[in-house]
Amino acid sequence: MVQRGQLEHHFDYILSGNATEDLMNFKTIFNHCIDIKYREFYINDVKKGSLIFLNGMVNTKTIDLDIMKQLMDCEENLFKEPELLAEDIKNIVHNKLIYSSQMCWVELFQEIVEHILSGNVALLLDGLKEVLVISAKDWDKRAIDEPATEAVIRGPREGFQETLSTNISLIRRRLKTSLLKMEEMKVGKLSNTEIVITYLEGIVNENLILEVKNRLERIEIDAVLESGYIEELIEDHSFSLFPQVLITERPDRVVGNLLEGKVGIIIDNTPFVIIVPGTFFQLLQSPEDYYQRYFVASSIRFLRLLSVVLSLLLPSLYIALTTYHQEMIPTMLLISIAAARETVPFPAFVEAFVMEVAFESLREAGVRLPRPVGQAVSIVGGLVIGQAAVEAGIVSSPLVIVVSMTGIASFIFPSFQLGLAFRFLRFPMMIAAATFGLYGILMMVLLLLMHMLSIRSFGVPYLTPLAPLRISGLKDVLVRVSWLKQSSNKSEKNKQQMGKPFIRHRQGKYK
Amino acid sequence: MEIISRHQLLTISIIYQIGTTIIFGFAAGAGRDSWLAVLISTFFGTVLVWMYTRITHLNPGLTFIECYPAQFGKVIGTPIAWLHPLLFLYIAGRIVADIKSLVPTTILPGTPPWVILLFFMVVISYGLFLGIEVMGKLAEIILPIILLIFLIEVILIISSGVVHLENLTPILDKGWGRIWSVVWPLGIIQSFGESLALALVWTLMNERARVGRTMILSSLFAGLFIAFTDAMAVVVFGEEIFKRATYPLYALVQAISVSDFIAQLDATGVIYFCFMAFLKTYIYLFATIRSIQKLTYARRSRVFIFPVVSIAFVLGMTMAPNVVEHIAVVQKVIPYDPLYLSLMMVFPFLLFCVSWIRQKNKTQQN
Repeated sequence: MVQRGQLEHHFDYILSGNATEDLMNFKTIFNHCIDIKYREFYINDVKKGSLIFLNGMVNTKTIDLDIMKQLMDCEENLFKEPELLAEDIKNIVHNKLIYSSQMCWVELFQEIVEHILSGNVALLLDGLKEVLVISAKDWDKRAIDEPATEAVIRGPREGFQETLSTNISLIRRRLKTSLLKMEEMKVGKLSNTEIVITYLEGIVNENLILEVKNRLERIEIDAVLESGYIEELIEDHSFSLFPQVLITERPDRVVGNLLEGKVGIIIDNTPFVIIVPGTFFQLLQSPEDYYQRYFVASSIRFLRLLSVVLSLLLPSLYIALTTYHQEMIPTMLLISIAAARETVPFPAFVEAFVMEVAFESLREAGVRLPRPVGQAVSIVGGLVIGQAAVEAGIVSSPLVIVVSMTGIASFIFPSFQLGLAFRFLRFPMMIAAATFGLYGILMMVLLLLMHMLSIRSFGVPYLTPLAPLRISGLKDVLVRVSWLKQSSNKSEKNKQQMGKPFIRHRQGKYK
Repeated sequence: MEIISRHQLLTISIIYQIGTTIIFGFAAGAGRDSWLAVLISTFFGTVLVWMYTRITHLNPGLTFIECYPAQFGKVIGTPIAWLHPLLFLYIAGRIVADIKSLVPTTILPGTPPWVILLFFMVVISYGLFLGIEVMGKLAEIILPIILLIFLIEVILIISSGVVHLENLTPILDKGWGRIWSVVWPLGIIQSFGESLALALVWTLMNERARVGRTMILSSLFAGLFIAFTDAMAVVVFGEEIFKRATYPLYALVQAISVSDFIAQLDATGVIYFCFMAFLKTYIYLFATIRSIQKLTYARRSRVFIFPVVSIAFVLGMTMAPNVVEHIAVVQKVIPYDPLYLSLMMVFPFLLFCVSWIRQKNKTQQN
């Protein structure tokens, strides 16, 4: 058995040139791996050969027709010359027999094993100390679908899926330039997950790429199942509540950000691509803002900012006003609130807290359940319980309005991650409001603002371009100015906006 | 080393100089002519601030307090320099006492003052821990919001129908006497003389050559702002109430009443004040910590945060037994205190002369 800690296999086998012997070595390594298939055969009755491949990750039709048939049907005397050198065999196989656009000769045992495990076919031939690795990758994958988390009214309906090569092609199709670079890396001792770093040369800051590579190289982890692993391992402040990278399922959004000089990190087996550096206002933008008429898009951005404030402060403002500063509520409204609250036995804080917790659990329950059941939950939870609770006098109806408005406001966040942060922050805010009223809210907002101002993502301050202030950057934050009014193109503008990222090398190891 | 930009220094200075006057009023003793008194104070105050900036300009690389030992010699200079952190700490304690007197009486009647102050000090400590750069960015974000709220406030006051422009006349009917009595020394010390604490921030700015211009700009802006609010208060209340009110500008917010719907906005006024007090206390404590760090040649300043904040907390709690005494001390004792006058005017003036003469001699020798 392999001990934990020796998880990385290093094979000291060397290819002998004897097909039978080499095949035995492979069989020892792939002992108890039923998905590895071996196919032994003879060419012209004299030359022994064998194929090794991973069942389910290769296209058997390709293997049968383009490899097996070619080798076994070849001219009778091709391999019969007695003084055939290894070089000649390689030439014949490479140039005359195999029908494949992607293949290469590999000498190292370790590399061959990796190729087989990633779905390539290995061809062993007697008398050769090299193995021909032929690409026949083909496995079942999901069709390109509309992204579930980032729906738009206007805009492309393609979303990423789980296969790296498809995802890459989705990006490349939108940027047909040699300046679009893709670099490959592998992360994960066991998973050997492929990661592609993509950027636009000439627009991106060189230091940023170096820093991204540096941080990715320092990752030490057994397996990467989702981009969330990588996100957590490369971000600057992992203790912060705020997401510091942008996660997206949309190719057009990735391309838009590459044009702004950002770096994309595409990870195999997940449709979620990471974009760094991520800033707060970027997380509040939807790609659709750029597709709709700019005046409308700008007003929607204002609406979103308002929702951010509401989703954070509305319940705590309600608590503060009804508990401490009743005089600020207009008299008529105050009377109706007081009338509604008359039968309620709890203080406003308990009432609001219970309702908020109930709302959050409803929402979480709705996500996990199958869709038809989820709807039932929202009807039972939202309508029936809400109505009954008000009628029973457990909560007051103004509070139900406040909680629902907060809920709606928190659905407006284009980034689910950022929405989560604000959902959580609502509770400390409510506690502060219940203890100190408006004063408590002010102090909490100051704490929160100071925290947001102190964090950076890959050297870029989180609240760029609001603080530090860059007027030119604001054109694309609070409003969306027409393309005609923005500097000639997106890349130019954002070079100014990003400035020179100051790269902070994080100390310590990623574990 | 943290660095702040010119714009950040400007916004910090404006908020700092407007500061707590947004509630307490400025030069109320001059009655209906207070706006004129503010403008005159602004003129002299700006000259004073300009002198401070020249001193740091003449001693490049040194913070304001380090100039004393450098120019006067260690024996005389070091004790003078050590007086500064004490002064800053004392003023910080006064602002904390302001919070203690205002917040519980207006918006949180049932809450014990020490809890309110403790929360305040915790938030300030976090800010001090994060450094001046964060505060610069915070000021940058908040100043536009403050100005916007102020604009709304003005519009609401005008639409409340309480504005009586005739309250401003007759101008100067009681002569220049009462104007001069508020301008010297309180008018110059308040806001402008207090900018001495900002001198410890100047060396952290990225374009040091433009400090002078930035400070003059912010002083003028703050002066005009205060003059406007004073005139506003007189216009609404008339001379007598304005002179007697403890918090004239807080009363101004209370005067808002638009068709019975937008009324009683006192709490927002207090919140406004709390933020101003927050930034001002922050700058004083920052200046205290930085001067102690410079004077003790300590490498790290963070060790001083907790002791300094604790002292400010205790000072604020014990500063005055009641509001009346607190305000009376600010208006009648402090301005004539020899320590205040000497640290804010006499010593800087001497320092300016010495630095200037030395600089001149140096250039002549070359």
